[in-house]
Amino acid sequence: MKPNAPIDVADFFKQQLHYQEITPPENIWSNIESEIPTYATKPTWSWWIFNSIALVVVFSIATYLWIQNHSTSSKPKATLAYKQNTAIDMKKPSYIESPVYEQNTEQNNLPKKNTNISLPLQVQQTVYYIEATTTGKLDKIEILDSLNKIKKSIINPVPNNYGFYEMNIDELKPGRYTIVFYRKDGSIVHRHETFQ
Amino acid sequence: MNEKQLIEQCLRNDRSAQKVLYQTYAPKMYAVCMRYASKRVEADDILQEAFIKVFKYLPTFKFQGSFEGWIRKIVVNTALDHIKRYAEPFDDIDENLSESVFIEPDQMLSGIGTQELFTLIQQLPEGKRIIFNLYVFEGYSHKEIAEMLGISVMTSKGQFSKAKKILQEKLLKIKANVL
Repeated sequence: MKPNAPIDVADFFKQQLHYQEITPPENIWSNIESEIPTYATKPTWSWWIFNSIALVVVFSIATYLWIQNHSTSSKPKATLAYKQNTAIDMKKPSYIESPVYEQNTEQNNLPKKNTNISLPLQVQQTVYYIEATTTGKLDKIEILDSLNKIKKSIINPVPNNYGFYEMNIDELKPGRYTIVFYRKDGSIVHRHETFQ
Repeated sequence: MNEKQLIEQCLRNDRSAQKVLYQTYAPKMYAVCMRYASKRVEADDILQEAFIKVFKYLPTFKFQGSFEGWIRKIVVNTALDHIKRYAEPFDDIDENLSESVFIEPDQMLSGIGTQELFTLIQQLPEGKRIIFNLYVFEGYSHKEIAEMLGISVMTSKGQFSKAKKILQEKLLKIKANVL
């Protein structure tokens, strides 16, 4: 194009203004800024990793607890069941009623704490119970193994809320034991038990 | 930070990124607004309204095509809406105007400041100003302009021709006054 060749008015304006930039007044941004919406942010990769780990942990704990609960509830517990009392003084002709082992499948029969309901008939084997009324007040209880070695000794035992002496037999090996009750009146009662 | 990262930062509610986006495109878009508006305060309103829409619809931008083009389209549409609110109806022009209106570019003409040229466009009547901008700067055909504005193709052509005539006369007047 020659320097002074006529040019269309539209082209002239386009050449002069098309790539022009004008700085807008400062206050426009502050007006816009207050109107910008808050966007719902997309989850990032770190969000996914964190939540995946959290989900795995929660699932693992839930599975572990379920397995534990399931295995303890489905497995029948060996329990001691007593009929009506009674431990008898060894000095007199007497008998000590041996406990009867039963398979407890009914969880509802387990005793509940701090309730004054009737005494439970069945208790778990890890704790050995003897009704206090059958032995009277005691100075000491000893558990002897088949070689007459003292495996456990409880001085001045105190009955529980239900009127039972409790002895933890968890650490004892399965076998036949003799339980010796030393009464306050000086008499001694023996009792033979087989713990499984 | 490239354009995509900048947009993503904006969508994470990063206020400083949003300001950078505004500062990057606002001067170009303000020039567009100045061409469509009849006065500066109107251009301010159009720019503000347009950028509020840009941020509102930012999550819908799919990174297909130019982001600047996308913003420009919003700005132009906002300007049209804004002007049409106050514009008088387009008057049909029956006279058969010539397509080309020439002017001789000389040293004096090239000395006219851009602000003065903006003012010349701003002084055009609304309808002619819209059509002149759409045809010259946005590159729409008269058929597209006619569909956009709901007028006939002939009206669009006539308004455009008339706008050029007005601008030519004003440029010649400036030259005459200077000489």
